[in-house]
Formats: sequence, C-alpha cells, structure tokens
Amino acid sequence: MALIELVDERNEKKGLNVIRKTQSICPECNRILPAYVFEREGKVFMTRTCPVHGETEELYYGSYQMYLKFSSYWSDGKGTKAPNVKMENCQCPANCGLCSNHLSHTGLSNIIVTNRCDLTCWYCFFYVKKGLEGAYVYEPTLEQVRLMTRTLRAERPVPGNSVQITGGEPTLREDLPEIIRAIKGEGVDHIQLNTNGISIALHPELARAYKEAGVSNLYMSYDGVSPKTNPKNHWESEYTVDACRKAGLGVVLVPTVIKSINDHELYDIIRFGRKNIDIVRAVNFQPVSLTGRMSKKDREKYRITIPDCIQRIEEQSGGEITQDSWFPVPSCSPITHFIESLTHKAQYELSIHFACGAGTYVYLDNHGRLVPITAFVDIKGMLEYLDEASEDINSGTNKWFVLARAAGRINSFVDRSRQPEGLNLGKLLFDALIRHDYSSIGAFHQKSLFLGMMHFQDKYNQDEERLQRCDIHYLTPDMRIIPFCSFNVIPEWYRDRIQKKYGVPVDEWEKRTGEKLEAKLYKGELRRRRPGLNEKVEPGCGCAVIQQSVSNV
Amino acid sequence: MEAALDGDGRELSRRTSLGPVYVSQTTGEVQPEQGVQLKVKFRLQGGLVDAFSRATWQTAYEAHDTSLRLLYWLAVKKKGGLRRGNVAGPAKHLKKATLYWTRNPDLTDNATNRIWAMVIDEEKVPHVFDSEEKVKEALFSFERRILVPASLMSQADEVRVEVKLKWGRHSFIEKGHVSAVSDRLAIKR
Repeated sequence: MALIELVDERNEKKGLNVIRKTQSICPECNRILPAYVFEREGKVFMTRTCPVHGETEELYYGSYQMYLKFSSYWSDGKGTKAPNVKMENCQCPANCGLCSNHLSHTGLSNIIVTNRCDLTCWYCFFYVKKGLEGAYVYEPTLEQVRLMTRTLRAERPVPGNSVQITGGEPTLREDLPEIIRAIKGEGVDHIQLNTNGISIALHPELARAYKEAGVSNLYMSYDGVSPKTNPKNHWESEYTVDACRKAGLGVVLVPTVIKSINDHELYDIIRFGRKNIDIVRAVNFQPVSLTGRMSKKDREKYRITIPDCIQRIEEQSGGEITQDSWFPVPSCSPITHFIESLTHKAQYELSIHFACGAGTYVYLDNHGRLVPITAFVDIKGMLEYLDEASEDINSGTNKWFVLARAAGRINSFVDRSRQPEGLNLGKLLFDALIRHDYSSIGAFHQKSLFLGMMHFQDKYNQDEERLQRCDIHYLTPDMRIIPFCSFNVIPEWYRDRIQKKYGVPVDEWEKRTGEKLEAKLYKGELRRRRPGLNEKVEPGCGCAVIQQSVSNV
Repeated sequence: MEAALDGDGRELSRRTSLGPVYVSQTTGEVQPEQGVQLKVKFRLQGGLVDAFSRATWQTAYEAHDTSLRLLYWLAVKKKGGLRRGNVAGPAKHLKKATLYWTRNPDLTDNATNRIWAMVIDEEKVPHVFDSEEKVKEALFSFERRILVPASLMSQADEVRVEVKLKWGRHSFIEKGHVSAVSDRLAIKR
C-alpha cells in the first residue's frame, strides 16, 4: 500500500471552491491522504477520501473571511538544527521526534509528570482509567525529568526555554517542588503548571511552595462560570485564585470550549479574568479536540473553531472585543525578524500555522471596560513597518539609524488619546524590541489580559501543514520531542506507547505504592462548605464523585 | 539571511526594469463631481522576475529568506499649469510573496521540490496558484485603480502616472529599485 495516495479525482469534480490542497490522515486507519481545504457558505471545510473508509468532511475554520486575513500572516519558522530524527523525505505524522523537516522550534514543551488525575472529566483524553486494558501509570523519575529538560535545552538554534508541567493532575506528585527545581536548575526561564487547581484550593500553601520552587504561573482549567458548564472546579477556582494572589503567582485561565456545552459563557469567563486582573494574566481558550470515534452528527454538535469562539466573544461582549481585535499567532514574526536583524542571532519565534492559534491583548480602562489593543494601536501598520525596517537592515542600512527612526515611528502607531490612562504602550513596545528578554515580555503582559486561542487538532481535522509547524511539544523519556498534535492525535503511535514503555500497570502501581488509584479522586470537600449542595451535577466529573460520596453518606 | 553580494546578484538587480506604464481613464460608479478614476497597469520584468523561480525558492527558504516584498508608490502628476508636480499621491502599496513548505501533493514530492510561493496582494488577500507561471504573473503584474478627487484634478487636463518600486536584498538578488512614468493621458470631463 502506498504511503501517499494519488489525488482522488472525484473530489476535483465536485466543483468545490478549493482554497488549498494539503495532506491529512484517514481518521479510521491513519493513512496519509491528499486533502482539500475549501470554502462553503462563508466557512472553511476540509475533505479527504480514504479508498477503504470513504470520505471524511469536517469543519476546518468557522469563517472564510478570518481564514483569509489570518493566512496572510503565514510565516514559516527556522525549525531546529539539532533534530533527534533525521529524515530525507517528509513522512508526517510518522517518526516525530523532532525530525529534520519540522518547521518550528519548541515554543512550549510539556513534561507529563503523572497521568493520574483527581477528576474524571468526560471529554479529557489524558488520565489513566482503572480497569481499562493497557492502563499504565506513567510517572517519570526526577532524573528522567532532568534528562528531558536537557534535550529541550539542547535545541538549536533556539534552546527551548519554556516548560509546562502537565498531567493528569501534576499536583498529585508529592515531589512536585523538587521536579520544578530540577527543571529550573537546567536553565529554563518559564515554567507553568497545568492544573485544575483543586489541590491548591485545598492546600493554599502549595501556591507559595510552587512559586518558590520556580513556577512562573498556573495554567488552570476553567471551563465556565456556572456549576453546569464548569463542574470541574467551579466551587474551587475562587479559592485557587485567592491562594495564588497571596503567593504572587500569576494565573492563566484555560477553558476548553465545547459547542452547545459552554460556548455561551466565553465572555463571562473573560469577565472572571477581569475581576481578578491583578493576578490573572491571560485567558487561553482551547476549542475542543474530538477524540475517539465520533459520528458526524456528534461532531457537528460539539465542533467549534477559533473564528466561532471569536465571533461569540464579540456577540457576548456587546462589541467590546470585536473580531478585528484578533491576530493569528504567526503575526508576531515581524517582531522576531526585526530583533534578529538587529542582533544577527536567531530568536524565539512563534511560527505555528495560522489556523492553530490567535490572540489579542485587552486593557482595563477607568470605566471598567476592556479595551482591545487594536482600539488604540495600528497593529497591522506597525507589523508592516517592522517588516520594512528588518528588510532595510538586512539590505545594508545602518541598524542604529533604523533603530533611531523606529523609536519615533513606533509611537506613531499608538493613538495616545484612546490609550487607557496610565499606560504607555509605545514605550513598552520599544523596550520589548530593544531588550527582547524574558523580563521585558513580562512587563508587556502586566496591566493587561492576554486573550488567546489554541485549537489542537484531532483525527477529523488533522492537517499535515499544521502539524509540521506545531511548536507545542512533549518531552519524552526516550529523549524525543514530539509535537502535541502527533502525540495526542495518534496516541497509538506516541502517547500510549510512551506511557506503556515507561509506565507500570495500574495493579502493579497499586501494589508497589500500597495506594488505590481512586483514593486520590477529589471528593468535593470545598463544595460541601458551600450552599446549593444538591444542585444537579454533570456525570463523569468531580461533582459526580461528590454526589456519589454524598449519597453514600 | 545570506546576502547576494556577488556580481550575479547585482547584475540581476540592474537588469530589472518596469515595462510600460499604461494609464486609462475609467468610468462607471464614479461620478464626474467625485473625481477621476484612473486604471494603472504595469509589469516588472528582467532580473528579479527571472531570479524568482522555483529553484531559488528552495535555496532562499533554506536560508530562512521566506518573503519577497515589493513596495511601490504611485503618483499622479501633471504638466504645466499653476501648480506643478504631484496631483495625487504618492500612495504606497505592498505586494509580497511568502515562501512556505507546501504539502499539496500536486506541487511537492516532500523532498527536493517542496517550497511554494503564496502571493499576498495589495488588499492583504492571499492567493495560492498551481503553477510557477501563475505565481509570477500575479506577483509581477500590477493593476490598480486610483480615484483622484475632483478638487485635486481641477487644474489638470493631462496627467501622467509615476511608478517607483523597490525590493530588498535576498539570497537570489541584490536590493534594487526601478521607476517609470506613463505617457500623458488627456482627462475627459
């Protein structure tokens, strides 16, 4: 069987308004297939036909107009010059690790410290379930964590500098502060802790312990503002945020967005961030990845894409945060290129595919309104100017001359009359361009809320052009660096294999530790202190555990 | 990016020129009292056009030289009268090509032939074409409509359009600039 099938001419005859052709996989058998990205009724879809399993059509991007705008910022990255897997020909999604054909260095690396979790959310694909055949508890040793971090730091030309400690629920590891210190000790500047926050809500002293060990911020699941949309940690998140406030540990709220479940509360989530803007740094929406086999009807029920979320935020905010406020992640490239032209040194670059992520900044004004950065900065003009300035330097113009000119020009893109009081964004921007270090980026993030979108792929919308540019990676104990959307989209090739190879069967783990896997499930202690105990709860999540324990009582 | 400082790069830059600039007056939705609408057409030819080929896309991409920006200015000029010089403009426009690793099975073998060029037009609309010729046609041929307000045109009976275009240094060509002026066009009112 050929690895790459010939183009299926049947698709050519459909009269599709094809925007581009790419490659994808069959969601049933993972065969690599030619795929068509096409426009229909103002939306963008992808289709491909497997000779065995037939056609799969999927919503790819909820707005054709936004697709056009965002794709104009397409910018391929430098990749990595020290690949772990050397390949002559590109064979994505096989042999990830990173290979010599990958186009982005690591922007954010994930280290899974455990796949145990204290919740059992129905949509989550990443926790060990007792009773399932092939269930393994995966918990790398401290030494393995160190070695994985060294692999990240060995990346060239840009050594990886950002780690997310993830799980399962990483706070279930009692040696987590040691793990954090080990990662920090390898020279990583940014460490974020991906958590549901429940442990911290229960034990507020953990926030300070994690911060002192080296955590930069919490990356906290937060799916909605009501118990129905956020059964996971609705009752606990206020306690977690408060503990972080006292410890001075920043929080990023991370809602997984599922159509028909919580997509009506996106702006409410932002409002929760605004209410806690002293400690909440960002809200990073993640449109759901549809894992496992799912019928087309169910996919249509749950599928939501980045433009859909952006449109809902505009509607729900009454036009406060408009669609025009958002830019795709690779729109940062002109800033990177400008700094590179000044320093002649490869810089950290966010070169993911335009369809993978988007973002904007919002600032709180004196009337309590959130003002998007685009309301007072001509972002498009500024990015074009930076491109022009980089080109001038690369073409031989004296860089100090260009820099002096840029100092004045950058301010001209900021409308001071509309800028929120107390903010001098022109200066912050210029400082970030001149100093271009971790602290200057940190300063830029203060007094603002970053709003982000990151849409991880699944087997139904998988696009090799996206995968090849992925910059969110997993570090694995076999010293590989695997793109997120290989690791999780084809778990049978990556995630499950790694966990089996480096984990232990649940029974063995229980014997070894003398603990039961379910013993760490959250029993809703904090919720019991709150009114409304008997509210209806969603099955499969933390609240269901609470309900069960309450019934038993 | 490695600079194309050798003689070839400079020679290619020198050999680049603008073809004739065609200007015509168009009618349609624009009312005479609003102003005059001009259609300007021109084409880049020679060195840069020859140098920007699939073979050089590959080498440029490997040098992380992934964008060719064509920055140009259009100015409407008049001859004689009380006010000499520009009637309108110069208005700045940008057209660019972005090089990327395509996964289109019709365009790539995912090995030696893998880089393709996307053209982003002046309105920031991206276009992906299925042949090198179409990419070049879209990138190096220009057509713009200019609306010159009636207030600015009042004293001009004849106008010319001046085009100035520049590009930066790349791995396949040295930086350069070209300019050209159209023939005179008598304005009908």
